[in-house]
Amino acid sequence: MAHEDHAFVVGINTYPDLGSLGGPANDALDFREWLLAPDGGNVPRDNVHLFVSPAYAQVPPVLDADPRAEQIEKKFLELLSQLQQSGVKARRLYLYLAGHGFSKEVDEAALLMANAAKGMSTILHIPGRAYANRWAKTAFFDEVVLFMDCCREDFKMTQPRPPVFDDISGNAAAETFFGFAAKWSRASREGPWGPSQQMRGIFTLGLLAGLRGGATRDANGQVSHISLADFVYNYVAKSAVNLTPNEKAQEPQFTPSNLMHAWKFNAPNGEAAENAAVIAPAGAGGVDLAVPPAFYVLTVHTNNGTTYQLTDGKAQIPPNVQAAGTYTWHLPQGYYKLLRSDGAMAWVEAGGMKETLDVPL
Amino acid sequence: MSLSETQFSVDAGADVETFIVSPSYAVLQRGVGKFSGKLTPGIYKVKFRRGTVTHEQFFEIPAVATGIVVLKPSVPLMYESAVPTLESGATDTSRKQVAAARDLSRRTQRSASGSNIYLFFHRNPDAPPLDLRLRLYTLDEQLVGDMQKNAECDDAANPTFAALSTDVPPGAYRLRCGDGDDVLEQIVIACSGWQTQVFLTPQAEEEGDDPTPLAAASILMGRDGFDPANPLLQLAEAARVALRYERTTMSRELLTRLVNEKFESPMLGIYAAHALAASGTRDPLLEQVLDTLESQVPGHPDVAALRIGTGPQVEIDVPPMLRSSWRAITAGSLDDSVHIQEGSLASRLPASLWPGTPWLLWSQRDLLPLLDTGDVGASLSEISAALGTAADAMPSDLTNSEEALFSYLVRRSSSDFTSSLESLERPLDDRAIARAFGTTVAQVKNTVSGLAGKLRMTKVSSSE
Repeated sequence: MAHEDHAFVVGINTYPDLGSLGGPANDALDFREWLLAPDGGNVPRDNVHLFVSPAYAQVPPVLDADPRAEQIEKKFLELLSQLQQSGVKARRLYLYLAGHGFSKEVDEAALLMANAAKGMSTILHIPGRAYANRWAKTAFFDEVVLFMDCCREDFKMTQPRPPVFDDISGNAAAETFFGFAAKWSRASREGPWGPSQQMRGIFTLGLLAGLRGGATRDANGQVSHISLADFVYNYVAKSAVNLTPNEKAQEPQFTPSNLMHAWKFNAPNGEAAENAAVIAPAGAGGVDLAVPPAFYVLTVHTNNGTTYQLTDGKAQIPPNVQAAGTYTWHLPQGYYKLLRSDGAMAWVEAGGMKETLDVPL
Repeated sequence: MSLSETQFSVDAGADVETFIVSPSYAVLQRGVGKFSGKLTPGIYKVKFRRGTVTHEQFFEIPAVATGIVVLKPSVPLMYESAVPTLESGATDTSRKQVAAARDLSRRTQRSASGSNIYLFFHRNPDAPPLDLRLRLYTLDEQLVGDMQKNAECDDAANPTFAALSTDVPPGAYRLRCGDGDDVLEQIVIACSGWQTQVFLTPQAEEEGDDPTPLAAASILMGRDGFDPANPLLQLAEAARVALRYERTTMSRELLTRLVNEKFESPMLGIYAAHALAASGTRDPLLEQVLDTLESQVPGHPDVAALRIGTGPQVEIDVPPMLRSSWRAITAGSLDDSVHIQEGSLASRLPASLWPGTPWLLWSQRDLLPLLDTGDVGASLSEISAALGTAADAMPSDLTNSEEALFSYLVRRSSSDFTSSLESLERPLDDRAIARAFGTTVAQVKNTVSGLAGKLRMTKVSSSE
């Protein structure tokens, strides 16, 4: 039941020492929007704890920058205490972390806090996976989800900050599902997106586009962890273009604790209407919501009387607009074959964050 | 077969993974090597992955079936491997390197039950010069091989390859790279009747990486020297890369092949078994492979690590070769399924290990000192008592591990947390700290003793 879900959402833009980012706060606000949506996460507003960089008029001194690890950990402890006292087992815990990050181990990922600095990162971070595993072991939740839109570059000399509460192993641990923007020792990327051209993390764009209709849904309108992972992986691959030489492509990594556990995302059909009056989204704070494009635009220009045909492998697709010298198609996500009357052919992929398609033909 | 479906057939190398992706980005089918299936008409994306290289292409299943649709990579899938093969390029240099790697590996006088460690370091002519500061030691630090002094090279002034073959008794050996304070170290296991072959190549600097040839080493085992034509070579490399990137599709297929075919490559089995074990599944196939590995290479710590938690307590004194083995050992040390012998090299491994590699690599200067750890509980009590004042008088000579432990204990004792923690508090002992830091109990004991000793010295200095 969604009313038993809880969430911690962290998005850090302002890093006085490490160099500020553009996307994480926008990504965090958008992810919170999905959490609160009746047809999305459907999490009660009071159960969602948001930590984003304040709108500083001027970049503060590094030691004064927020948010900090201890602020988040204090909330962790408050929730832990509340759950222990209530004696009620909750359903799902979401941990969403976005900002500068690093990994020391292949299976770890940590979010650097706003007051982290070069040579001063040993305690100024939140170890995402360690906390997710620790929450899972508290057995207060059935499920723990961790999404991290952070780099996982290796910081060799940084000691990991251990979780602030103990390993309270008792009953069976919760199932866990982890999604990382990049594989270990690799960087994640952000770019301008949407009508406002705000900076957004590509992983979070893909994640939310998948949750909001891009990924394949079952009969109940829910998205499985498999279809979500597949969608995000291919969305990011399509979006992360213009790599510099020697730069490896960004590859998201998803890890369920149990391949047999049926993870479902989004409220099932019907539940949204039931709870809509109770849960009103807080508003995304001026952030363009990440949704899959209604359609992608393919435009080709003709010359010398050449003509074009487009097919999706099942049928020919007539252009939406055909003016003198121009064909324009509005295409749903998918793969297409573009044929020119002189025999030339090009494959077209409509997908990813860019709505206008470029075809070298 | 449904009337609307058409058969397809993937024609790819034995070490190539193939993924077929639908227009909605769902992975419909996947496999390794050659396999076949059925799809409805439409356009699909196929992704071929070999080692570190991925290639995507599109294909169409026609609405009107015209026979089996064959999918194969439209470009060669070449990737850089430390193992010299003819496939690495058809240049004169690469051909000479392959021949040298093979010929020099056969220069051994080991008996049938003896063992040999073979190091082969090579580069492309336009790559940086080889850094030959590679040395092989016994566990008690007796030098047994020095590449700088004894390697065979093609050109002494500017070699494109260097090889060193050392007959050794079976056991564990320390392979070191570098000099002075900058020495990285790993373990290489020599097994009775086998040659352990370590292939190295200089690493290109990538964003955020600090290259060392040890990190991307390829380690194989053979009985009759290095055979570049061995078809299992590519599979062994595929398995090593699968382990590096935690890919399980390749591992499961390789294990199946190992069980079905003659099992002649223990390292391939070790790689595949570890990659599969890392997925969290306890596959019956894994058990069959472990039984075979234990008979082929008895006592190998990376094989022993795969038994942790499934049987009697595993005794560890020698560090394993693989990082994944060490993770299993670390976890096992918390619930007594592993016992790390006091004073052994394994007990002295630092918490900070070299990242970005499937090998267990550490900086030699970070090895923990041999300490009489004494009563750890008493040391912890001593530290806790000192914390109230110690925050202002933190010793300045703490190691990274000691400083991290100090910060952790100070945080736990701060007033912000104690009120919330009261109802949740459990005894703080060496296991709890090891669990918190993701390290071994042995490492925690060493760190606690070291920190207690230094706090004691600080207190003594302050009172003088």
